[in-house]
Amino acid sequence: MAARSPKIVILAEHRRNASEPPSGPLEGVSLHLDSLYRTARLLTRNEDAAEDLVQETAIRAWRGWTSLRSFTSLKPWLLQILHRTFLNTVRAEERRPPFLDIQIDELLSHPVLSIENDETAPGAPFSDDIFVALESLPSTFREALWLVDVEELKLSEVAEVMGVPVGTVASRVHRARRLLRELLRSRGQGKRGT
Amino acid sequence: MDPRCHEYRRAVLLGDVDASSNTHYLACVACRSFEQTERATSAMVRRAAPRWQAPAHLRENLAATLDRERERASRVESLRHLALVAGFTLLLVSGALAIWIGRAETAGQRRAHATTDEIVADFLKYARLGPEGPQILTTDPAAVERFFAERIRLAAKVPRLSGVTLIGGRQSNLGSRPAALLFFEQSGPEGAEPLSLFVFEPQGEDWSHMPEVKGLSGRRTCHEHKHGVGVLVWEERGLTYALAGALELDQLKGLLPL
Repeated sequence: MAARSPKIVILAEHRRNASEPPSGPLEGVSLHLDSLYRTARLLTRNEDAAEDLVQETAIRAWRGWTSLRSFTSLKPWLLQILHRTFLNTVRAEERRPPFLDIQIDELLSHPVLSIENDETAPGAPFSDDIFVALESLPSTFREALWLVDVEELKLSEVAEVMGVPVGTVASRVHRARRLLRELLRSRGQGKRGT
Repeated sequence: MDPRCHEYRRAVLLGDVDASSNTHYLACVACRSFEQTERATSAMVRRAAPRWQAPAHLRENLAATLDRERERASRVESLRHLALVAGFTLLLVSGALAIWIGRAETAGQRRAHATTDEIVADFLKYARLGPEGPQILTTDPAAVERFFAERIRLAAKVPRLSGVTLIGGRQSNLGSRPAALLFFEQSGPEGAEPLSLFVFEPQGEDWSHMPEVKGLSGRRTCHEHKHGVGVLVWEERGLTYALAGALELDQLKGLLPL
């Protein structure tokens, strides 16, 4: 096995002391590298493209390091760069959400969207089924849900990452969860039917 | 939807649920179910999310990429610094050049200075010679004009100067060219003050750098003061007129017709 470079050892040290502010962009990116890579995988659905996206994100973070306001907001800041870098790589028509974005109050008072036919959670689906259902969600729903439920970002942080109001993020997350449940229910019914 | 349900669900989705919401939570089965479903789905997503980890080679590549980026930025910074220094130097050089060009005398200006020097030197040497100096002694301007027209073929016109008397004139030389030299006197409490008027054909003199006498209309008149002698210069009908006298600018200016 190849010996690890001193730089990587330093990165590993930083990973052990995550409470310490990183001394530079390399350490900063390294601290949240797994989160960046996971989110990049989710967005690109491709390992190589995810690595490229992370590399590009790291370069942009390096260039804009002085614009980072606080180290406590490092993770959302990096994810925001990743999000924007990803959007730059996809074509304009792919960026447009295939649904109407609505605010949370509109959603809760919507005659159709506020009603869920079966409010019960789906039984106990397999992880693979959940992931397949997650992958089939519209990209902006999928990203919002991922950042809140998996990366555990606050709604306000996700709003900053995605560049939309907090209410829109909350609405996207709720609709993503509902869609996910519906997809899992339909898959479950399909499986039972076969 | 009941407004209380709306408010409660809004708080759930925005993560703003507090103790005051508890009453509604306990009372409303639908909202309890709503919140539990949200929590359950969230937990399910978290559990099922793939545990992808950044591959080791990505970490290594990242370090190398940022090293390259640092080197590139350093090169760009050096180039920027170099460009800044070069730009600043260029600015300094061009500024110095502009100042040098601005200050450098042209040949015409040098010639004008030389002519003024000769006029001043001539005035200091000959103006106070008295009646021996002039070749023609007369107060008649027409006689003086004729004298010069015949003698040196110069159509010099005697200007009407105020407060001075024409005495006469003589042929003079400024460098290698002939010049008409007219003598005037200004009477004062301390005796007569001599004045010399040189009239000559210009030989490329450029008087533009000399300060202009303000308050005179018609032609451009400029002045210079050297060794206690004031000189007023103007051009008229192709000839240059230079009035010299041991007077201040204002006194000399007062002699000229306004």
